[in-house]
Amino acid sequence: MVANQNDKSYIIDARPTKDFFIYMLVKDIELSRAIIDLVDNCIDGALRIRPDRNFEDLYIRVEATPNYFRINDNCGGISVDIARLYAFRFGRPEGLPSIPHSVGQFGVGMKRALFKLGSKFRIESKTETSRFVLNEDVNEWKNKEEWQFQFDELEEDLENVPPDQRGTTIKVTSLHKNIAADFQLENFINRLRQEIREAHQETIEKGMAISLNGVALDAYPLELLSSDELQPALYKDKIHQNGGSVDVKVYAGIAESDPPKAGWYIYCNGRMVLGADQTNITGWGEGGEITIPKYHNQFARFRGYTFFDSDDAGLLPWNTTKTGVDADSPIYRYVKLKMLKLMRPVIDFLNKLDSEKNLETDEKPLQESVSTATATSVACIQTSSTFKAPKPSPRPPLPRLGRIMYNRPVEQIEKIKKILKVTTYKAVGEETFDYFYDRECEE
Amino acid sequence: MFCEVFRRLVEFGRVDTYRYIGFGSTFFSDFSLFHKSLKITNNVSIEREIGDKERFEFNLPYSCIELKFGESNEILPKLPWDDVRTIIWLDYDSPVSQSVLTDVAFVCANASGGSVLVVTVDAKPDHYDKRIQSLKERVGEQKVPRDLSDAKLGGWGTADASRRIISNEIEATLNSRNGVRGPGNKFEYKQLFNFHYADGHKMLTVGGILYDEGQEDLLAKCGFENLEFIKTGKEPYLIEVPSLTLKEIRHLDKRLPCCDPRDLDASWIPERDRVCYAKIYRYFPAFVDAEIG
Repeated sequence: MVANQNDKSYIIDARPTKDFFIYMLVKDIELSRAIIDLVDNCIDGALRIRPDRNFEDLYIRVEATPNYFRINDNCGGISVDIARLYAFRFGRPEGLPSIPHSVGQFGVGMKRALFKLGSKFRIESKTETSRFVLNEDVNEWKNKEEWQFQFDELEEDLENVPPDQRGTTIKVTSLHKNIAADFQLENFINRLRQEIREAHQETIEKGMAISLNGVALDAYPLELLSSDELQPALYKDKIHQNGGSVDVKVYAGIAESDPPKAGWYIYCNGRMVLGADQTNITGWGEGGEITIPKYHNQFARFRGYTFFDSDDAGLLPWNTTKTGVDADSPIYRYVKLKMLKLMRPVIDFLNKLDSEKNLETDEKPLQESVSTATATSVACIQTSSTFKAPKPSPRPPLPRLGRIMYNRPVEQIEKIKKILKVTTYKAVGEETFDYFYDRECEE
Repeated sequence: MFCEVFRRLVEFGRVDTYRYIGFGSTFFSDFSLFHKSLKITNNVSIEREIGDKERFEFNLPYSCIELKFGESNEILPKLPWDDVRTIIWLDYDSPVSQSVLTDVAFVCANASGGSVLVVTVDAKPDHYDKRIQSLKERVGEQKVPRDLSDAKLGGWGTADASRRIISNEIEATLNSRNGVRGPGNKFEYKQLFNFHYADGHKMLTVGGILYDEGQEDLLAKCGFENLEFIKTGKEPYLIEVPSLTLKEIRHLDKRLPCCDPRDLDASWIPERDRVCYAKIYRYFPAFVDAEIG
């Protein structure tokens, strides 16, 4: 007998559990990255009120202490409607009004960060016309059947809340033990400061005042060495996809020699998702190391910057934790071809620069060109379609050399030494080689 | 043969506006031919032996050839590629290797629609028990087709495998290039050449045209398939060089073209040489008698 497919026994339960979100999802992200996700949300708020991306007078203040974590901004606030319908959903619901150039794409960042940090949180947000407060104890919420949070205070139809009061404050208390311990470490706070600064240098550059534990983070502009004879390469394109478009800019050039900073940097809507990358994801070691060699310290001057910008953040090749690129995405695979093309002449130049060191000549035009070039911000740098660099000084062609190594009985070597009147094994090898070559190979 | 194909590229744009990139060596015979027959004036010759710079410069046959010294892997990324249709003949004297594939991938990633890529590699089989191993060493294990064996790489097997490896590289690169292009706008490759050439030493020449899907009608108008030596798949066109005297060549020329070369009135010339000469006589190099002594 065939069972009726409407029969309940045909139904398989695939509902998610709260535990999955509270305990599993948080494992996919590092603490510092989870905090940067919260900063991303503030920046999305800022983008909503300042689509021109001028962030003057806006701030994001982060406090990470062993007792609590707090992030507070004046970036426009979360409206009651957005909070009610979208902001607390797990995943990005359809219908959410999109923010051009958004950096908080995936709809998991805030919840994941809150769960990662501790078990109690309080969110207070005020917009031009509404205000709400939400308190939640995660341990209690976990045991409830419903997938809901509840407003503790709610005001709608407010009139003219002054701009400097429109913002959001999130405070997490009852921090998890390991989190509280990390927040006590000076090294962790320093690392977090560095990571926020790197991730959001463009936003800071555009006037956003970001601080961590009361200390302001300053932007350091992306720079490349430039002069009339030394010019970084720039590739620009607008790629149309799925009804939207992505602006792509790729710069490749050189900067100060600094191994930990060398490599490729990738930005999506101004947010760094990959920094100083020296792996195959950005082309190092491509084509069995023939197309591009693996990273080595003689390339410590290499810098490449790739920017993907789109009104539709869904078109950008970042992963959900924004800690890397989605290397399989069609757009990244395409742009990687361009990165390889721009990178190769820089690598060839750095190899020549390296071999110039060993030349016994006063003329070192490559070294000269590097030391006379000035570090210039990529925003206003003179570029060329391929990396432009001076030619190395002509030198007499040397025959290509090979190295021979082999073992023979010491007794026999000593005999030859005496006959040749030489003292080293090396000389024995060279003399016996020449002896054979003169007699058998010379034409 | 190449000239006959390249002339038909006119559907994509005037052939004299194409750029030709080759490895001229000191003879520059390809450059001379393409300049004379196709009026190509934008020529780039890549030479690896910088030590012989003066000699190369002395031997330049025309003023419209730019010499670039260095490895092709290094020079190609430095050339401009936007808005220039290119005919590039990567004429290596070595077998297929990662270095060859790097150049092939570069061209496929960057050449504009209507460009032609031709690759010549040494296709002589390696020592009979080291063929697979040496192929893996040259191109990397991932790029060696699984069904090959030392035995299958014998005869013309190395040429067949080299063609497959080169074609795979082209397809993989175009796949990456095409990810961001919509349907109807993809970049395609159509193989036109698959020459097996043996003049004492087996060589493979494989290549074809790179074009945008939107250019399919132009490609059709070129009518490449009407040329009998065009091979779009794995079946090769075998070029054998007949062994003939000048007097015999003149004798055969007078009777060509003809329907069946076996019927040519030249019974003293071995049939094999007659047949193979009749196939390629229009492309056979011309010689001049010289009085010596």
